[in-house]
Amino acid sequence: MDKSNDNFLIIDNISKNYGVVQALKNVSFTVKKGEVYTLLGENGAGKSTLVKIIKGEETPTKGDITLDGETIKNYSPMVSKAMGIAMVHQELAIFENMTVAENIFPACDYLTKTGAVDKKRLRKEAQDRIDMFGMDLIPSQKMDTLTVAQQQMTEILRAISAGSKCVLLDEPTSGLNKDETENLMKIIDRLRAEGITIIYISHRIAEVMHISDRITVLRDGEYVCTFVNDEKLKEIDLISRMVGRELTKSLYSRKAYTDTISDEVFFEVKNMNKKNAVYDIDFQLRKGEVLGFFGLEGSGTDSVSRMIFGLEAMESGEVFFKGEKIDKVTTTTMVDKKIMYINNNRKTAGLLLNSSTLNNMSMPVLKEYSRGAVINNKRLTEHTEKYVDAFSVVIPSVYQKPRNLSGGNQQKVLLSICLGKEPELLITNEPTRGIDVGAKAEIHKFLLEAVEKGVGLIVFSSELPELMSLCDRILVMKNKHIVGEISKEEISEEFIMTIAAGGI
Amino acid sequence: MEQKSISTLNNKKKFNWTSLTIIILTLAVFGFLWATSDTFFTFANIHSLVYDTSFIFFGVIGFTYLMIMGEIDLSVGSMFAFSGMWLGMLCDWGLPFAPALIIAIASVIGIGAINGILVVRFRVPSMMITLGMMTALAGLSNLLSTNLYGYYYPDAYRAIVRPTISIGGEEVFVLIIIMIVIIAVLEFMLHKTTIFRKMYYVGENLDTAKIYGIKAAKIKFITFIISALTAGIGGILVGSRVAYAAPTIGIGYEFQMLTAAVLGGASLFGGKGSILRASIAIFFLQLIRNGMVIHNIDPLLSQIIVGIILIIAVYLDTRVNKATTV
Repeated sequence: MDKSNDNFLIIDNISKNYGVVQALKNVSFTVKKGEVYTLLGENGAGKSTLVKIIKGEETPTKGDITLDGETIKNYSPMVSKAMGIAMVHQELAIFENMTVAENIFPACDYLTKTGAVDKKRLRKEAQDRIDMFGMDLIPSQKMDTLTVAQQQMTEILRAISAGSKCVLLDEPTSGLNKDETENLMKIIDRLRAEGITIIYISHRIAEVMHISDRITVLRDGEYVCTFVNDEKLKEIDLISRMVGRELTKSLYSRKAYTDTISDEVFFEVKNMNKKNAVYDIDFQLRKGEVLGFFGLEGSGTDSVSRMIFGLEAMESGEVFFKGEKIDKVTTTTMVDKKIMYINNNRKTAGLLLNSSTLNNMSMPVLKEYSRGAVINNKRLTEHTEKYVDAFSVVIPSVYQKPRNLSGGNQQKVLLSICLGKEPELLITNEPTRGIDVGAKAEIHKFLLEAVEKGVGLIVFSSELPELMSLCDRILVMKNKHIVGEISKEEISEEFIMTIAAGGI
Repeated sequence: MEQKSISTLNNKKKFNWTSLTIIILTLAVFGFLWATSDTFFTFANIHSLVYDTSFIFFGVIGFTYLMIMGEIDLSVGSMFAFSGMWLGMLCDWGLPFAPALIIAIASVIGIGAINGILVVRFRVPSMMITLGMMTALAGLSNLLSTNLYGYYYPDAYRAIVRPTISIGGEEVFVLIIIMIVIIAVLEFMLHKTTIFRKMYYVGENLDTAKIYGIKAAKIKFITFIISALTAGIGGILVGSRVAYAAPTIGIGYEFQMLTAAVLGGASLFGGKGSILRASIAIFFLQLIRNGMVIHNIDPLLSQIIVGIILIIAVYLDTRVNKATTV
């Protein structure tokens, strides 16, 4: 290959300031044509900012970018598109009530002579593009009937047009399960085979090591190092570079609490059913035990977590807490009994993003901190300070709004709200979704500390390492039923996956 | 976590300057009118200005609460017309004033409950439900006013808004004093009591409030009743002042209240709002109308101006929200 054409993208000494915050500090590296190049780093490392600059959505404060031999003067999405850069965003941007074909060509590029949309042509072009990448899609299908993975494929197809030379993928797997992720990996392979350069952002180390040619680690807006992804590269090398400290043992370690589990049943669900959601759900949580739920997308774990807390109505079934039947399972009765729920999406429900941290912390404990109906703001402030300190949430004041915090800090605020109620039982649905490795480890530590103090814990998670490090027992769900139970001694990733994904 | 934590937080509350906008605007218009006219700053003029404000003020209370919860009640204007006329009708049918008043208020509460149930139980957008209610109540009021043609309300009803009290040698309507007391109490309650704090939570994010055990549906239902009740009381007071079934009562009030609530810091997206500032905003709109009369500008133009102010206020609200939603 000609040496001068080999470098597709040269990042030369790029810095980006937002006011006083420096998001990127003198970052330089070079991406070769046709490789899968990964940017790895904790939340806030500067990955997304860098990608936005490449895409032309942001202008760097300092430094130059050379794309395909041409130094960019004007940073704009139009320019980058003309140069063959396509981007798939972290959050899906799709039209749910339109077809796949319409979503691939949202501008309706094909018109008949009279100016109407040429649907036949639109479908044919869409089919051609689907075939090109061997994707499992039908052009006339409505988007809302598709799985998340299929929706994402559609978005990728929209992003890459005939002239695309480079695809930027910003955490594309955050909403995908294992099968779907593998599918995406195949698509990336195919794009690579077509000679398209891929810039990939993720903090899922396993998949990064699976797909990448080279991996660059960013930390706090600075370039750390670049690894060539070969057999010698170890997971621990990447993790230690990401978090900036050498880790001698596995990040996930858990003391055995098994000996503290008593026979006493703490929380129990009997024969819970809801048509098309879950069937025959029976389980017990013993005192001192951490119980996990695992299932792939659509298995029903999310519904179970919501139904046992009263966020969704059950059609039949009974819930017992400390031996007593709960007559009416509503969020109000559950919170009154000191059962708290950590939601899987803190942005849609869990935090008040635009209210102060103080207000967020106040939500479940207003009654405790008021006399009659009058709120004692001073004591509420003390309460907030206490938990913010205990969980090392980084905020300048209790009036700080969660909107302006990093994902990890937001999640810690969420945890503080729930633990601030001094709960007896904590139901957590994806307790560490979308946060970096460091914050994840901290949250695991706080959860286990709560367990040591006698709090019951049920963890619903799609991340096996998380379940394996936290739980004493894992229930596996498939097709809306509980299909397996695995004790601590038997827990292994392969075993759980075999049950959850079929087999046996 | 037992020991007292040593906090490094700097918990000085930053003063929110935007909350002063409406106060500054009002003072500016007030100062302008004072400087440019001899008739403006007289006791009689200011007194009647505030008195005029005090009727619609009642409606603003419930309206602002609903906006804090992210809902809207467009039936308040028709409610102003309906409640007074319905009370008049009951009196015309020969009922003594006291039971008539109780029935009228019960009816108003019933209408609020219908709005509330439809919105909460059947999850219909409140704008559509209350638009329907607005039309239905306007129709009812027309029917009542036709039947009440030529009828003057009884003395007992007319007497409600008449009492005055002597302050510093000037006679001041008691209604004004009541309004000021209510504003002070409600503003205190809004900031200091649990029920109102919960209103803000529900308004900002219903699902979040639910997760922490707040009975969102119940609070919403009650607020719709409060909205109908406060508008109904306002309407009964207007009826007492006008003393007959005037078909023009309450027309356009819902949009005046919407303008006032938004000028007073409420957002169409919920989670924000203040009774004090909404009340000042109502006074502000009244000032503008008064100023136009004083300066011999056709009063019909005032409607255009209020419309423009509403558009600007909503535009700014949307922009502020956009800026914080990215």
